[in-house]
Amino acid sequence: MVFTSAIFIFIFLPIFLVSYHLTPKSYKNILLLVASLVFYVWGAPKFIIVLLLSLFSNYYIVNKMTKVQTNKKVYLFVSLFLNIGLLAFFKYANFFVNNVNFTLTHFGFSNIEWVKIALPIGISFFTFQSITYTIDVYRGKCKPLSSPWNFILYIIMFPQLIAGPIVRYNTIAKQIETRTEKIEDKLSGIFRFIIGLSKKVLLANTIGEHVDVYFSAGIDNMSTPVAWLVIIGYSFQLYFDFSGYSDMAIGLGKILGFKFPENFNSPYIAKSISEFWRRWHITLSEFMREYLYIPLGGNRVNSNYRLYTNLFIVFFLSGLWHGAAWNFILWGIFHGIFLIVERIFLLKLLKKAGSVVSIIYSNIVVITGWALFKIENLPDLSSFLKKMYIYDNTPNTTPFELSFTIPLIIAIIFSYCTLFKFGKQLDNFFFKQKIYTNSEKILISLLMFVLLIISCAYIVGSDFNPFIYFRF
Amino acid sequence: MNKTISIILSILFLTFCSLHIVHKLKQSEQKNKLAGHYNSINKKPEFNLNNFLSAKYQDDIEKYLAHNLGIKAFLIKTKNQVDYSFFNKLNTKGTVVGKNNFLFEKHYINAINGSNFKGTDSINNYVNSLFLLQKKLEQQGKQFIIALAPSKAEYYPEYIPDKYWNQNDSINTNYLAFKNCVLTDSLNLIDYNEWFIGKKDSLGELLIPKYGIHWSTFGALLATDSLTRYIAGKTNKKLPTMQFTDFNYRTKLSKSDYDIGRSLNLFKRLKTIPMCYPSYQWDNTEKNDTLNIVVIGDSFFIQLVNYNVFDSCFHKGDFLFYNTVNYLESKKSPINILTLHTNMNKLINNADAILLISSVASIPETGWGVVNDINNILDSSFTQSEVREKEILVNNILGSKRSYNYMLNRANKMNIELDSLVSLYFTDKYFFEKTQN
Repeated sequence: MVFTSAIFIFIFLPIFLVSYHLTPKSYKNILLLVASLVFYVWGAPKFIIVLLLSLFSNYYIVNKMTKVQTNKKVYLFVSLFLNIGLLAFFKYANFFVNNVNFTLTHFGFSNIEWVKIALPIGISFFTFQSITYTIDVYRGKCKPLSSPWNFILYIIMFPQLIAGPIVRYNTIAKQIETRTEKIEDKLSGIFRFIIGLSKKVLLANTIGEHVDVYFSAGIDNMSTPVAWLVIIGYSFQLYFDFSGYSDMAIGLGKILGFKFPENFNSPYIAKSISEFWRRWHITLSEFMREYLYIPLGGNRVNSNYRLYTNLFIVFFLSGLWHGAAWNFILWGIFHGIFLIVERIFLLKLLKKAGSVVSIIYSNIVVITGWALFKIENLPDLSSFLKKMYIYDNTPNTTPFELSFTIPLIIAIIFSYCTLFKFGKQLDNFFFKQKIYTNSEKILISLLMFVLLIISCAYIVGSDFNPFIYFRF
Repeated sequence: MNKTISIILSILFLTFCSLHIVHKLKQSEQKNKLAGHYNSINKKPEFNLNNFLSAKYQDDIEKYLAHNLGIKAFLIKTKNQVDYSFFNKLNTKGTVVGKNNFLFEKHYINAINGSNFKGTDSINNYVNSLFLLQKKLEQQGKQFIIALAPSKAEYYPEYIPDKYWNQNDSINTNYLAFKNCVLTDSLNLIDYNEWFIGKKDSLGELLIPKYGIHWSTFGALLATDSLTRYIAGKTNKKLPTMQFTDFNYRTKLSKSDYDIGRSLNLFKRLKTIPMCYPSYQWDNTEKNDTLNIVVIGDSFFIQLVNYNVFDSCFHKGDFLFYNTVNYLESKKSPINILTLHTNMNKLINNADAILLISSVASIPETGWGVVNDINNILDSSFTQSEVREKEILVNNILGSKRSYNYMLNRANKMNIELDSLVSLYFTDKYFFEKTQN
């Protein structure tokens, strides 16, 4: 089940919200847990047992860890091994075997026989959340949850189960067992959910449809301007898809009384790749910093060589986390290299060059990076990068429709508007303002109703293409 | 007050999301059904553990919900209106927005720009087969008449978007090849396409509407009148003729004059010029012969059926829609009666005349196999070929509540699976006799 489906909006959500608000406070977590289990089982029925077993095991390992006086580290490593092992097996085993077989074939040996493993949905997110729980408890930042059911609730809460944000345990620990629900938060949660829904359905999906058409027409049929236009389209598709989903998760969390962390902060106005990663998928960056980069030594290492190696490792693993394929690893390394180069000298140059040049530079790097992210096949990737950087004037055979250009223009405006005062005010008004006056509430609600109706129309209507008549 | 407003607004949002549930609890029928031809999913997916574990059940339920959502019509119209108003995009299959917002069906554009040109030899062979059939039927005392209904693309080529025109100056089309070929043969041919184009300067949109795919009501009435007189002349029968009385003009168009427009499923009706709706009656004073005529045609002939051409003029006959569906018999049945279920031998052998009518864009379809079928019938070697376009027909059965329920009831009464009954429908000539009560 995804948020942008008719079954979620018209069946699951109303039934859940009515039940949740009629349930006494002491039973709300139980209801939320049951709803989250239903949500997960609906999407991935085969994996629920694996998920629950791993979560229960992790809970009891961490619990035990807090009770022993010595060898806490052993339990820590067992828990980490369990989580990372789960992720490695389900997400990377196929990739590993494929590469081994590729090597074996290359040297004339026969392949390893292997049955492909299916990927449980949300595994990249819930294993990371589970890791934060283990480490935050180990570090003494938070006490462990009193009930395994609350732990399972923390991990599989349906608002952030599928696509984040990665909610570190220490940021939400208190909210699981005691949280205050305010009607103002619920209303602003509804607004946030609808904004996210619109971003995903009206911008990301509509742009994405056309990006797919242009890619299907073949990279060979693209000219340089078309290649750039298509990858720029993809860049905004990705941003509005991911940030839209995060907005929906944050909005749903707010309705339930949870305060989830922000995940995006106008990433395309970043003036460097370093800044980009403080604005893009913020919760992943924070996870990597707190649970990988800092334990590796962070900025406080003795040598620059060590520092750059740590950065390289972090971005290598970030790339790998995004997907089990070489293009994702390349993408991670690509960003890592730029981060290192910026540390060495480029940041100083960019400061001198000014904001405009810096923003153009970061956008070019990021957009080029998205080409690595999008195109899994390495020969195709190479062709596409050539199209981008070696001028090609192949005539364009795929027309540009208004249904691509208009949403793209809107996406560009929303992505860069926070560079200007008015844009910042708009951003504050919709995303940061906590209290609205009555007239503001009504006006925003009118706008949100329109967006909600249009978004639902696009969800329901996307497959409706009748013929004029019954005919042969 | 602040809190109250927040509560009210939150409840309003929740109410919107609950609309489908409320609709289902009230067991309301969907109002304002959507126009156009589409298949619905009427059968609620059945739960079984295997389907659930493989997530097939979930996919099926989500599709079923999307098709049966209580507020589906409203949401579809919203999307279509946004797409049309902001992006000039149509969501009806095969439709194209032309210049000045004239709407076309791509099928007709492909015919005029030569995209579906079959080749001169193929068209020559077809015309030859028509001529031979005409001669054969004449020997049996039957008349064979071909009518070409007009093509909107031929009538309004100036409104076709530039991107649909080939760069080559010379375009060869099936229609041009057909006309060239017919010059040398003496076919009983009425070319309404040419006739309408000839009248375009004086009658313009009155003959082919801006948002319709077929001839207008007025154009169809003119065609009916001329066709029946032509057939009467050819068959030496005294057939009733049409008499037109008042010529009324209005902007509230008939369904057929706005069929593409309707199929767009918009909130806002598109503006057109007032169209002509003459009052008519059939005059059978001293001309009330019966003509047993078998018509094989496409949707252009449906308008003529609606003008009671069978009841008031010919008095006897059948209409084989695309040489697949027995149209007149099907109107009395919850599901289509196919040519398979019809005694084609009897039909053709008893006919006084046979009319083949289709739009010029359908010339490549070569009569949907009817030339072959009639030849075989006349040679007493007819065997029913496999039903054409089965997939479309199956979707039509399962996608329409009426026919789906009919078949389901039949299957239950006969104690067989629905799939088996559908299979029987496509293979057993005596399907209807066997499945009657």
